[in-house]
Amino acid sequence: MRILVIEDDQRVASFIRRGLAAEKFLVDVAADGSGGVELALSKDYNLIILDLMLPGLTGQEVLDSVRKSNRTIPVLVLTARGAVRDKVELFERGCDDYLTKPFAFAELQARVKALLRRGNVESRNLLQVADLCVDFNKRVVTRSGKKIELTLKEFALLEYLLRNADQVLSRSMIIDHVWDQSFDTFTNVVDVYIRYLRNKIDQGFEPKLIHTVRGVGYVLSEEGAP
Amino acid sequence: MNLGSIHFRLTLYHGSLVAVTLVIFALASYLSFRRHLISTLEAQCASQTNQIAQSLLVGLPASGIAYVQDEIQEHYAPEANNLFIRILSSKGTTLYESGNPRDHSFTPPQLGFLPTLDKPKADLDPREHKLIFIRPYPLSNGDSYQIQIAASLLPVEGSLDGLWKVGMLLLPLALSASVLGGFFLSKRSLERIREVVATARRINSSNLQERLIENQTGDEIQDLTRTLNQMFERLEASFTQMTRFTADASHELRTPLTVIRGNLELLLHQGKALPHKPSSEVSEILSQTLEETERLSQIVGQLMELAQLDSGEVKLEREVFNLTELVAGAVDQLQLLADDKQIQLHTELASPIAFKGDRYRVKQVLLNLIDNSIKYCPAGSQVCIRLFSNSRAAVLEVSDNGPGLETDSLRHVFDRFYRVEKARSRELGGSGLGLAICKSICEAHDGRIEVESRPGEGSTFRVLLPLKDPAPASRLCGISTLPAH
Repeated sequence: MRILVIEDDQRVASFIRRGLAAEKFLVDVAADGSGGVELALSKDYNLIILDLMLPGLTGQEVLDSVRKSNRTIPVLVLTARGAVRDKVELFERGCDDYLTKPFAFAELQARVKALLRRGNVESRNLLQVADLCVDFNKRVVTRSGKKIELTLKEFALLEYLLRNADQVLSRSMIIDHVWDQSFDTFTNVVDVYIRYLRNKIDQGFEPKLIHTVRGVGYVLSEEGAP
Repeated sequence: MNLGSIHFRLTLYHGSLVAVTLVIFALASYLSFRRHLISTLEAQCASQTNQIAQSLLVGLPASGIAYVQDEIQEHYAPEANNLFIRILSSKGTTLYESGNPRDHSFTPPQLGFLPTLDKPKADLDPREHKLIFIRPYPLSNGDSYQIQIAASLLPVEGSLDGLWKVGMLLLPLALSASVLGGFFLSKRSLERIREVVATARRINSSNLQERLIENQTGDEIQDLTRTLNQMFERLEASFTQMTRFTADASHELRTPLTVIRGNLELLLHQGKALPHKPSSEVSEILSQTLEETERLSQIVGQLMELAQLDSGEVKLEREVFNLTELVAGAVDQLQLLADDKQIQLHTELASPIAFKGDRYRVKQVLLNLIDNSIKYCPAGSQVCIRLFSNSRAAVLEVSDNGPGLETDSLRHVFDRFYRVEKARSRELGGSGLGLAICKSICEAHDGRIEVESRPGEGSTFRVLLPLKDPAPASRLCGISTLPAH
């Protein structure tokens, strides 16, 4: 998998490159807009990470030129703006997802993976991690064969964690998916729901599946927190 | 009319001043006119006595009394002219005495020869309406005479009376005309001050770029307007500077924060891949640092949001939505947080209220207020969420029976970074910006937020959102509602 990072700030570009490289991605970095467009058009990338504030060509112009020749390549935009309406605006401008600086690397990673997986979305109706089984059709959750009753919200949360198993999910990603955007991170609603979910699916079972990743969020994994 | 207003006081002062001036002027005119009339009469009497003395008495020894009497009668006809003339000699005899004036305007004085009188003397007898003039006249033969003339004061009094009547009529007229004129004049000039005040009052943080209209009148009001405008100029400049600074600072902080955060995460979570895995102690320190970095990111984000709200840079979405449903949805979403702390949420919601505004931001206010109540109230408390509306505004109240706030804190709860209980709220994860954001959002909707609280008796936060175009509830039917969980 080949990823192009178009980011003028060398320090940001460098940790993104290192982080993604550790995940076995091939990463190219362009430090300005025109260089980015040149690379994007000359090589076959699976994904582009694009900073909107660039010297020379703006991020928007880069996005427009890329879209002209390649309609389908996923573009993840990094932006300094955080208002929600920007999201709609950004999608209208042709990007596929966005992250607001400062972001957690885990979130970038999760969004990158989600974008790359797009099209072949995990749609299996039966998922299993360790001895936890979830049948999404029948909405039945069992652990070690014991049936577990979950509320709608808890089920939605578990589904999101499970479909992104082994992937650290930030609180804001969880809120975006399970609640709606106005639920800002000022509430600890995610933590409370996670605790309830843990009480139901982890209490009295081994190994523990839901792990806290401090400073970032949560992950559902058989192996423990990364 | 406001008795303390400049307008009233100005009219009062002006009226009193005019009244005093007019009265003094009228009195002075009256007195000087009276004095003039009397001295004219006096001069007339003096000249008549002089004539009698110089032309008749001087020849008395030669001409005889009868001649003098005839001459006086003929020349002066005292009764017909309403005069009284009497001539006395030092020997006690009366040389001449006229009869009563024909118009009976006065009774002749009963005055004998005044032995001590050596120069002419005038006596005013207003009660008897007469002026008495006495002129002593010594003859060379040693005889001495005194000529008395009494004249009626009625003509004088008549003129003065006329003047008095005119004055009594004109004075109040002039006074009221002047007070009325003053009233309208000051009203007119104060009207402009009132306009300036009204315009100045409309200017607040969201329309600081507006200015008062400066009329080129060259007067004090133009001066006042210009001074106010200059003040607004400076206010706007410092406000813009402050907002700009917050926006720039939070913007500039973003990139370094991203780098710090990213690198910390790499260290922490990919440490496994490093040749030397970090020890658990190092991991702990890194984790703590990462958590603090995340908090810092949140604060920077919220500062940015505040700066954008303040500068009006962010345009609010203006869509009509069902406020009642939004509140119900928010309460529902926080139900678990409340349950978790054994806090009961009660709702008293009005029938659907259509509100035009930014649904996302209004919900943010709601969630923040309810979440605060849940955070700061002890287990077993009750939080009541009420929503109702009158013709002008939708009112949302979040009240609890928690610990309440000290009066001191009340003034500051909406200030940035203000914390009531410093240690406690930080432990609860607040940034100290939540309520400031709520306030900015309310103000961006032309509404306001207020708080009532007493220590130990709980707090009530009240949000007032003006309903500009109250849409009938029926219009809500087609509006998409909030997504269910």
